[in-house]
This record gives sequence, C-alpha cells and structure tokens, in this order.
Amino acid sequence: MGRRLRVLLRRGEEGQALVELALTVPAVMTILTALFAFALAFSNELTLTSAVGVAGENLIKTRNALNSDGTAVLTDPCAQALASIQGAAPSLNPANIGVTLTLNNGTPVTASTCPSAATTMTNKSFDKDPVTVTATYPFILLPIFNFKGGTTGWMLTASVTEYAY
Amino acid sequence: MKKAIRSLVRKALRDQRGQTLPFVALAMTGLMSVAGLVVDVGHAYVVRSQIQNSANAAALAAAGLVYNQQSQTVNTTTQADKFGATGIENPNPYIVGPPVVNLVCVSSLMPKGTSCVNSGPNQSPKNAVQVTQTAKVPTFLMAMVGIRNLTVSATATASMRGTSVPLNLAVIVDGTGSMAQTDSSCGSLTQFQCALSGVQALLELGDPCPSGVSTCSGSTSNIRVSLFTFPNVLTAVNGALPVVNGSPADSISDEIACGGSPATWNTYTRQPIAAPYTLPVPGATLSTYTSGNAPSTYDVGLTYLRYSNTVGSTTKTWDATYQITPFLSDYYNSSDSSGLSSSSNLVKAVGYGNTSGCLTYTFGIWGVGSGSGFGNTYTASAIYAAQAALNAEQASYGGQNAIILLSDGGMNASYYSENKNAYGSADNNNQFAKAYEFPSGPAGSEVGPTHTSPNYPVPSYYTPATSSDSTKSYDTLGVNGQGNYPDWYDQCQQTMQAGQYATNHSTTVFAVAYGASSTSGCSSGWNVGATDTTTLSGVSDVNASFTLSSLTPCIEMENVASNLNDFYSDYYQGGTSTNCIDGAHVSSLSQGGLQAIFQSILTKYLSPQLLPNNAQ
Repeated sequence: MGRRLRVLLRRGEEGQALVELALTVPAVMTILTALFAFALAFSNELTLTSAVGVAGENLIKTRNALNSDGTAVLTDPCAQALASIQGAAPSLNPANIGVTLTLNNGTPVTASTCPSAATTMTNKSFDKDPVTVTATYPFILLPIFNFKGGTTGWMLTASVTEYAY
Repeated sequence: MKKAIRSLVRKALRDQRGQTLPFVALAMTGLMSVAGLVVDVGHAYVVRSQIQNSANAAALAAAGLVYNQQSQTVNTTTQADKFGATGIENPNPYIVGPPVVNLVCVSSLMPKGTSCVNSGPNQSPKNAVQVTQTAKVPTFLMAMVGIRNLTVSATATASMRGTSVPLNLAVIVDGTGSMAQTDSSCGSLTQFQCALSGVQALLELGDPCPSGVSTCSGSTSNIRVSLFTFPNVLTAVNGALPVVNGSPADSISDEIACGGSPATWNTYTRQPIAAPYTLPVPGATLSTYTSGNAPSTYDVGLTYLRYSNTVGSTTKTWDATYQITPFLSDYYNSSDSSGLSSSSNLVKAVGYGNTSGCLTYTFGIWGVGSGSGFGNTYTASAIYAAQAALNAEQASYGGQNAIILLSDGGMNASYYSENKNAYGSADNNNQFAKAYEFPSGPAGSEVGPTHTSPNYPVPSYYTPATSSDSTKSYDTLGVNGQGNYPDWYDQCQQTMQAGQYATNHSTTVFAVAYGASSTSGCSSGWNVGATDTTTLSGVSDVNASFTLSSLTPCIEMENVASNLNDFYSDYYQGGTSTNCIDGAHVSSLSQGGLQAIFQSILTKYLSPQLLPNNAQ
C-alpha cells in the first residue's frame, strides 16, 4: 500500500499543484477568516464606541430634564442607555448588546433595568457625579457560522465616562 | 560549466514541483499587507473613536464647568484632563500627553448682532472649549514593514455653559382673566398656575452663579431673572393699599410671601389689586424712586407709575408696576432637591414650596363670579416696561437681554373705565372696577376716572373726563383710533410692534403661546367692537404672514418672537379649543407642556453643546 502510493507519487508531476494548494489553502483560509473576523470586530467596535458616546451624552442631557407634571424624565438609566446604544448602532444585533452603568466610579450596575439608579442620578446632590456607560458586544470568531468561540466568548467593550454639567 | 548551468535552468523550468509555493509566498506577502492594513488601521480607527469619545466628554465637562470667562482656564484644563484620555475617567493607553485645551470664541454664540473680536483691547470673552487629543497607536503587522505606529487625533468643540455674556431675562406671564381656565393636561391647575410652574422649571435649570460661587448678584452673576405680569398691580410705597372687602389689598411683598394666609380665588381679600395699565413710552428710562419711604427690596427698579391720594392730612402713595421682582440671581440652591432656594422672592413669587399658597390664586386678576375672571388683556405696554427694565439692568451690569412672553394673545382691553358687563352693576365704590381702567395716551393727557372714592388713588397725571362713565366717548388721544400704541384699536398688532421693537433693540424675544386661538381674539377693545382694521407701519410679518382679516392671537404671538425658532406653543391646555402649533418645534415639545418649553428656552443659554470643530 505504502509502496504503491510512493510509486504513484513518484510517477508524475501532474496534480502536484493541487496537493500544494490543498496544503496552503487552510493557511490562507485561516488568515482570510481572521481578516474577516478582525474587520468585522473593528467595525463593530467602532460602531459600539460611537454608540456608547451617544448614550453617555444623551444620559447626562436627560438627567435633569422634567416632564410637564414635574416628574423626572429619567426613570430607568440602564434601559435608556441600552435604547440609545441600540438606536445609535443599528448594524449590531440589539439582543446581544450588554450595558453596565457606573455612577461616580462606584459599584457598576449591571442590570438591564435600574429604576433605582434614576433616583440617585436625578437627585440634585449627586447630579454632578460622573456616570460611566460601558457596553459589550460578542466578538464573533467565525463570522460565517456566527461562532462566538465558546458559550461566553470574547467580548468587545467600549466605555465612556461623562460629566453631568 | 556553462552547459551544466543551462541544463540546470532548463531542468528547473521543466520541473513543476514546488511551483505553487512561490506564488503562495508572493500572495502571502500581499495578504499579510492587507491583513496588516485591516488589523492595524482598524485598530487605529477604534482608538481614534475612543479618544474622540473622551475628547467629547472632556470638552463637555470643561465647558460645563465654566461660564464664558477667560479667567477659568485652569479649571477648564483640569476638568478636560480628568475626562480626557490621559485622565482618570476615560484613560487610553496610547494617548500622547495631556489634552490640548483651547478657549475659543464662536460668533454664532455671541449676542444678536455682534461677532467675535479676537485681538486688540476689546477682545470678546471666550465662549467655547476646544479639546484636541493625539494618540500613537502601535502596529502589529505593519511593524514588519517598518511602520511602527500610527498617529491619530481627535478634536471636540463645546459651547461653554451659559451664554457668551451674562443673561438678563425678563419673564412676562399673562395674569389676565383668560388665564383662569383650567388646563386639564397640567394637573388641572389653572393656566396661570401652570405658567408659574413653567417658570419654576426654568429657574431649576440654571445655576446663575459662576462655578464655585454659591451666592452672586448683579455683575458677579451670569443669569439675572425678573418676573413681570400684566395687568400691572398696585404696591404700597407709603401707607396701606386701598381697602378691599374690608381689609387692605395685598402689596406685592404680600403677594410674594403669599401674605401668610392666601385667599381663595373668589374672595378679594389678600390679593393685590390690578392697576390701570400704565403706558411706558418705548425706550423710556423709567425713573427710580427718589422720595417717599425707603423702597423695600421688592420695589427697587420697578417699572412703576406712582399714585397718590390725600385724604385729610394723610397722603398715601402707591405704585402700579408690571415688575413683580427685580432682576435676581438668588433663586438657585444646589443643595436643595429641586435646585430652588425657597428664600428667594422670585422663587416665592412663582409659588415654589407653597403650592397651596401663592399658586392657588393669581396676581389679583380674578373677577367676581365663578372663576370667569375678566379680560382686559393688553400686552404691548408690558413688553415696553420689560424692555425698559432690561435696558436699565444692562446699563448697570452689562450682559445680553431676553424676554419670555407667555400669553394666550387674545387682546381685549376696554376703553371703559368700568367694565359694566363684567360686573353687572359697577358702582363708584368698587375699586376693582376702577382698577381696570385703561388710561389712554401719554402721561398728562389721559382720560381718567371722573370720581374718586376716599380709598381709591387717582394717578396724578389724570385729567378728569368731561362726560359720565356710561357715555364716555372713544379715546381720541390714541392717535385718532389708528391703532398706534397706545390705542384701543389694533391691540394685537401693537403687541407684535412691541415685540419687534424689543428685537430691534437687541433683545431676544421668546413667545410662548399658551392656548392662543387660531380663530379669533384679535378684535380689540372690549365693548368697543373695534377690530384690527389698520395695518400699522413697522409691524412685520417676520414669522407668519397674515392679512388683517386673518389675524389671530396665534399669528400675533408667532410674530412677537424674534424668529420662528423663538416661538413656542402649548396647545394642549384644556378649556380652549385651539390649533396653534409651532412649526419650528416638534410636537412632542408642545406635548411636554410649559415646563419643557421654558426649560428648552433656557437650555439655549445653558447647556454645553458639541459644535462642529470649524464653527464660526
């Protein structure tokens, strides 16, 4: 068997290109896939970063706003930040965006809704405290198969800290 | 030897083994270059986006800290550093050096009609903060071809908090009978109460003092706010005010403090008396108090008209004024949950902290009966009074001027000295009837009340009418009934004229139409039946075109505003069916009610905004 193969291989040079191609294709494909993956990741990261900026600015703008009945506009900063990011990043899958808020560099609020944080944020005594918006989005390892590299996967992260003037 | 080489080459050319490899190697180089471009440039773009975010945050934070002053460069830089990419809030590992902070002057933020002067002795104050950050991003793959890092930079420009120069703000709130209607979209308060809550919202927004200063006034403050209302009301200078329903009427100081025991709307006790409309000459400098008792805090700078009345040996003096409080900067208290200082007269006057007090009634405009009130709306004189007060304030402390006029725009001041229709049976002892007289023409030549009761003051410039009340003729001093200020005719046009007069004198006029009718209400002169018949010279349809037959309060209010962006309408109030919609703003703003409108007006002067980096 081994001998026959050796003979076969030695017999002619036809098909050699195919073999060499077969050897190099995985390498090339790996590089190309990595290229796509990185390109997509950078694109997503760019979108996420600018969306986080928008969310941060929006959050501090609505922080002191009031409704006509005198109640605060801001009722749920986490949900509002998430909505801002989703709105500012239409190319990202809204369901995969995660948001974390940190008030005055304290303990991050990781819940998707956080009505209690509104009480602090709209309180005049704390309204000069900075607020940090951090967003995450899954890094997709194999874009074609939407493979995220494990259940948790790697995450793209973007964050900004804004000062409420 | 040669032969051997030739044979080797020939053999090599014929040999196809390993042929793909050089191609792949070549392709790899290209591929790696592209990969390098994607990875390194992509990374650089991400870093650029990150430092743009932190530059924006830094510019906004720095601009939010300072009003327009050059002296606070240090603060600005500190704040920018903190929120920039070198700082603790938005650190970026690739940043080079601290952010470069420049204070710049942007002409579009300057007061109307002025532009930045950037050199010489009369330099304009800086009104914007520009932050530039630069990052050196190391490369991974491009390093192989000798490009070790990529340099990216981001610049953000934000307008400073406050205005390019301090703001003198006159807020004129319609206090006439039509404002007694209930606004069901505003907690079923009256329109007047809702209007005051709008002013509260405005005050809550703005700390008038520079950063780090807790109290300020006059030249040291950045925002000075004065409250006006019309019709003008009486305030005591010397002696008690006229007796109404058995006790002296409220003076303005009582009004501000709610008099301790505020009345319900249908009793006259403890309510200030509406005085006849005084008619300031446009551009006049209103005199200040020179004699009599020392003016109280509330009196200083009032745009007043003095009345005196002598009974026996006692002379009483009162002033009629549109101005409820002078220009104040003491209304803000950052440690209060609302942001308002309850000890400020301005805050008291708009009813904060005492919603069962001042807010339950108005500045003395109620008529008898079940809340119908009475009309008598004439706005032009109030605008001239506010403009005069603004001029005086500006002369003392500088700054730029702005007026916010809130009204339904329906004009109906009567020439009658007594509104018999409104009262049923007016008599000489009814001081409220007297209080609603509409004097016509310049001081010294008005037709006035023919009789005086002991408690009722007669303006010293009044000359008695020759005919009896019931047969009083049309005013002939108001420029032949041709509608020119002041006159019974064409009152809506006079309001526009007054607004445009203020605009032409560098005051930004914001008009807030509150339940302004888009069908009727510009039939001037109660009981007169006179409508807007004459096109007044100098009245321009700057924001909304109209013909005299189609002139409505809505159009009137629109044209009072300095430009269309300064016109707001709350058309959601109950009690009236109107269709007065401001085209310049989204409807949601109107739905947000008066508080949103008032806040959005002040926000124009307050919140730092990101500007294009090349903003002029």
